[in-house]
Amino acid sequence: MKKKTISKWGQRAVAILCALTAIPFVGCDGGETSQDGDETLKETVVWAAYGTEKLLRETNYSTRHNEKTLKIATFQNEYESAQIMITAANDTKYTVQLADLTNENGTTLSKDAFSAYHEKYIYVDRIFDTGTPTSVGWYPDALLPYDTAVSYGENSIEKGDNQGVWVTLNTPKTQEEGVYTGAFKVTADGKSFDIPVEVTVYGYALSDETHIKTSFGINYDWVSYAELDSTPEMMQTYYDFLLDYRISPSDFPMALNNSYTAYKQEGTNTFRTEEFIEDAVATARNEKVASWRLPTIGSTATVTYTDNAGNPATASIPCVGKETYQRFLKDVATRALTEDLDLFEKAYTYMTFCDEYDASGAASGRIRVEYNYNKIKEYNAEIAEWIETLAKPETMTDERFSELKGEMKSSLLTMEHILTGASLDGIYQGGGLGLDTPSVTFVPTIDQYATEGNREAFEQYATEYGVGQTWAYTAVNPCAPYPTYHLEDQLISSRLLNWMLYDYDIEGNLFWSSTLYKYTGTSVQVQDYYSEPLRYSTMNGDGFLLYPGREYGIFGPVSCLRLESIRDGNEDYDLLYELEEFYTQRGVSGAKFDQLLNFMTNALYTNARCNYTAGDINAKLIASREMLADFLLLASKAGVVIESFTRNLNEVNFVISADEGVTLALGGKTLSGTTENGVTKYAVDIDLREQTVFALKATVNGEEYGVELPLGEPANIVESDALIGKISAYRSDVVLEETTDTIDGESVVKVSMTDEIGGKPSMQIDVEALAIDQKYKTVKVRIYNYGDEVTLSVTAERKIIKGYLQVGQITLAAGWNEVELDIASLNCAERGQVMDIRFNFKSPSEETLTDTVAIAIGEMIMEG
Amino acid sequence: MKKLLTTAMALILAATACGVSADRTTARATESESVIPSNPVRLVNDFETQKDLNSMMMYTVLGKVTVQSDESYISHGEASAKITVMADPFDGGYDAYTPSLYQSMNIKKDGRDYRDFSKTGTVEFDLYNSSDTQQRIGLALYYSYYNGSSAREWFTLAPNAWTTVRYSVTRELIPESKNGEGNTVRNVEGVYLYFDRQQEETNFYLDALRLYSNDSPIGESVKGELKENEICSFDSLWQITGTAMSTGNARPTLSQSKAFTSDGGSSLKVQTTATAAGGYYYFYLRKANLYKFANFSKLSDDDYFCFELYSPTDGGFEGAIHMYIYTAGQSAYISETVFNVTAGNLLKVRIPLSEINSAPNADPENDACFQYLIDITFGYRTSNSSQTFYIDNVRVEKAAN
Repeated sequence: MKKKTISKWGQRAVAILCALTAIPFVGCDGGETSQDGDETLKETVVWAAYGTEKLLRETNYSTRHNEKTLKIATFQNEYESAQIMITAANDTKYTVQLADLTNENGTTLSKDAFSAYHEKYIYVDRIFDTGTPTSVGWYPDALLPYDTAVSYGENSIEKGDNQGVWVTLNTPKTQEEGVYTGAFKVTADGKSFDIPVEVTVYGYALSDETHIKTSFGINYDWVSYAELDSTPEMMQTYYDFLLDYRISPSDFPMALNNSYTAYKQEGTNTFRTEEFIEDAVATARNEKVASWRLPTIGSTATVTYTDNAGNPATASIPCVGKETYQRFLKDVATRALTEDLDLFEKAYTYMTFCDEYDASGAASGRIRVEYNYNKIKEYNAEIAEWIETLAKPETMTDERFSELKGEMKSSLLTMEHILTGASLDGIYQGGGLGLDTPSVTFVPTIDQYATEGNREAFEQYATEYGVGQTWAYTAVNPCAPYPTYHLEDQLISSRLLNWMLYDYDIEGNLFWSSTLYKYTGTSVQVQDYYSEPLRYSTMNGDGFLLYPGREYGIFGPVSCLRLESIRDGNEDYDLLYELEEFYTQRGVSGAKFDQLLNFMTNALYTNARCNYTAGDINAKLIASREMLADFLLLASKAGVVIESFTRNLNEVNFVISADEGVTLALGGKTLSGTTENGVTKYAVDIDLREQTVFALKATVNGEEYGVELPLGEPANIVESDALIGKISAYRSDVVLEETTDTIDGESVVKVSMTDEIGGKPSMQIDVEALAIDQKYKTVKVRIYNYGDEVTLSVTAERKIIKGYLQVGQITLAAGWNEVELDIASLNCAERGQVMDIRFNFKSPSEETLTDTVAIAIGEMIMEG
Repeated sequence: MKKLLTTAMALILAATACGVSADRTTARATESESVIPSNPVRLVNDFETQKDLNSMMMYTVLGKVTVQSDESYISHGEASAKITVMADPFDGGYDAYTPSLYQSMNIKKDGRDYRDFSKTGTVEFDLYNSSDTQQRIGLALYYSYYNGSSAREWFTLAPNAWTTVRYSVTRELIPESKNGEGNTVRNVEGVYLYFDRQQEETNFYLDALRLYSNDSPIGESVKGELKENEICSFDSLWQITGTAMSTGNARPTLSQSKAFTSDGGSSLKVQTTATAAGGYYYFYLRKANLYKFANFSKLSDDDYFCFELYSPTDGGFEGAIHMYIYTAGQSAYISETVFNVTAGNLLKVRIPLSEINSAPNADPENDACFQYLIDITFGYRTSNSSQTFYIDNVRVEKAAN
């Protein structure tokens, strides 16, 4: 069926909600919209696309038809994907034939390492994520194995439509590095097409160990709805399937199944402890699993507290059943001795009866958290003490026994108890139960990490009230350009989420459900899982990342583009983790490593928002991964680590270390350093007025490795006299006077502003002549405050897209201050150069400011 | 815990006889021996392909359902559904939870909608019991999320044989509702098929689930008049069908009984389901089905809300029964009362309306008081044995002048 028929039972309005009228109306990732596809196409075309984009079935992508080569760049032991696209001039069947590739040495990359999938399209008839520039239409999602598609006759394309074939490479761990080429064959519309294929294999192997902690929900009841199979084998298959994606499901197959747990109650012994313990042991030993969830079976408690109005109140709240919970912990601890393994190391709890604790705004949500998170900390501490009563196994040495007990106790006391919510504010309002500080690992949505202030607040909270770790989650909210798993969002965002997680030191990622095989809030049945995008009522794709395989004779789930992208992101996270390990071993601090990380991430996103509008983001991710590969090869093959770099105007100083015996060269010149304990250190200075690229090469054992880092433009120092005559009052109520002055020998432009009526003194500076654009990342402005402390907020407007965005904020103390304006966040490449900068003043107490504000502006330094 | 609100519980007492046919003991041999008469019939599901199973759902860890093509187990067409009921996966800890299958009456992929049972007389299907022992199959009609299900009716299945199960529909008991076009219909969303869980895995083969028509006029409405000040006396059969129950698996069995009465008629007998571990279950008296003729606007704070609750000596309920009163437009109850019930005791409940109307969540100015009564819910915790209690003569008593 070419166009979706709105079935008579489903009365969803077909509405096109396209956000941001200033943005051209596009199909996902760059095509022109056309509800009829490419009807004018004379001949069927086969072309190639990234594995980080969604291409709609009926969108015209003719401008990309000359992109013929299927390209993949991959690490060893990694999955990476790309797409063969077929745009049909006539109704046709198609076939795909994979083939071996070879590199320059004649080494083969076997076709068996590749898998092909027929992309199934699902109709989205209403856009909920209005942050995306996408439209209603047929979105690729489910990935049906190609052979299955053929046997079910689904390898067909209607005239004018696009059909994607998702090609995934699972690069063998021992695959020789190099560039492999060859061709795959596609037949369609009576013709045969050779698709050139180019695979670059980097010489670094991703380890099997997963480091990103995840909690992705599987509801086994829902699985049985759709699979019509509730056997342990089916449940295990779903569980194992997600492990292959470096995802730790939130529930074990047997132990935490909703149906299985429904009857459990305190004081009874009906929980299937043995199966649970077996699952826990297997999980703790599985390096693919970074985290597993302890069951927190619910009970109820009556508590008294103070409500939001300050009145005493009583509530019956859900709580952790102490006896059941501690019984689990004891059973796990006892088994840990047999296994000689700290089974608690990766364990966490997630008390879903406290989920999104502040969503309703009621005090009871807060009370529920304070009660439960204190209690569970107590319960863990009691078991930590109880562990001392355990008897040593006969085969265990005293030393090991003591060590293992210590490990378990430590794991219990520092266990993460995760809690989702919008804000930290609600948890510690005081006047609650008067209990001690709970230990909460707070899990806000990823958009909450958008400001440095928030990131610092979460980190501080984690240190003071948690166990030093932070998580994040995504669901219906946030919307694009924050990363999401929404059907209508750009595919790459789900991968970039993991880059953000790593960048912002977020160790865990939560997604509430991957198996929403039902509609929420209603008993109406989803009958056709491959056609229903909206199961959680306010967002397409929310709640499901899997499709039931039953109707295609597949035992277990079918993957989708979004899940593949999540795996790619998880692997990226682990690669970054492994890179930082090299740096940590060399003694490089996290802050210093973050400077390096910034080179790889600054083109991809800014403050948790994906940079969609600054050029081809798919190409930028490829470039970032190339840089990551360069760093990993330098570190792993030659022990080369960039320990630090600092910039002072136009001078950039690097400290690099390498294994002894490695030859380093910068810009073609061999470097010399000092060697100690097998490591040679180099100090390098670069003048940006002479070179703006850091091109480092390392030679070891006849092999060469290198990286190129763009260092930015030389700093442009603008003296204050360039601003004379460019300053004016922003509001008509503001009386402004501009003069010149000299302070501490520095020439400045003095500005005095008074707003007796509105109390909002403000000024604007015409900076068009300074050509502040994408060349610069920051502008630092020296400002002298003649008076008392004031708050200064700086906003800027660009040439093409109007509207002022905040670029800086500071409390101006009396005397000299330096304000740093974040020009990179303005995306000048798309939105145009900066035209005006506004200074808005407020009193520190946020009250109106009717007194005169007098400041002076010294030099401005624009840095790239 | 989210409450699944349902209404319309059918009688345990058989309102009509439902026939069980043991027409065939061997698999169908030829087309001419089709067990489906040519008319009038609507074939809801012939279980020919995996996609046909999309209109089914499985509950309570039933096991597995798949389409199979072994002729020995086909009664119609080229395939049938093989149903494997898992042996007890809970080591006896889940015995109260009956595994079930659900077949929707609305086959979306084909646009076939059979939900209006106004002219449906029989639900029929062929079921092959492949075990060596007699089994049984239960069937219930699922009306809707709001109105709940009918009572389960059980049919005997001979060992190693086909049984054509025929369930006669009492249309009068199906709650009326309005469809999308505004017409009054007797809506049945689907049917549940219930299985007994054995100590070993059991297999069944299901084929040709179909409906037969009944064009005769539907009998007199089951809704009757109330006595003065009556809310629900349970003296009329329709007052039992109008009582909703939780869709939880260990829901109570509700029936009309004369074993206890406080008004000389019948009462509501509530039989809890035994569970290995206690859980909360609820049932409801819902205005939409019961209070149609009751006018609460004439009540005053001086009047009383009354009923009797009796727990028999033998097998009587012991524990707390919570009563919640819901009013129109409120998402939370306006008042909660807890009755501590002991076996062998009769509780005469008499609550001043002033008490209900002054409860923390009650607000007469916002339609949150007894005058706007919409739902009375009773909740309790199950135990490891089935227990019984009776409720009768739910009413208001006017204050003495």
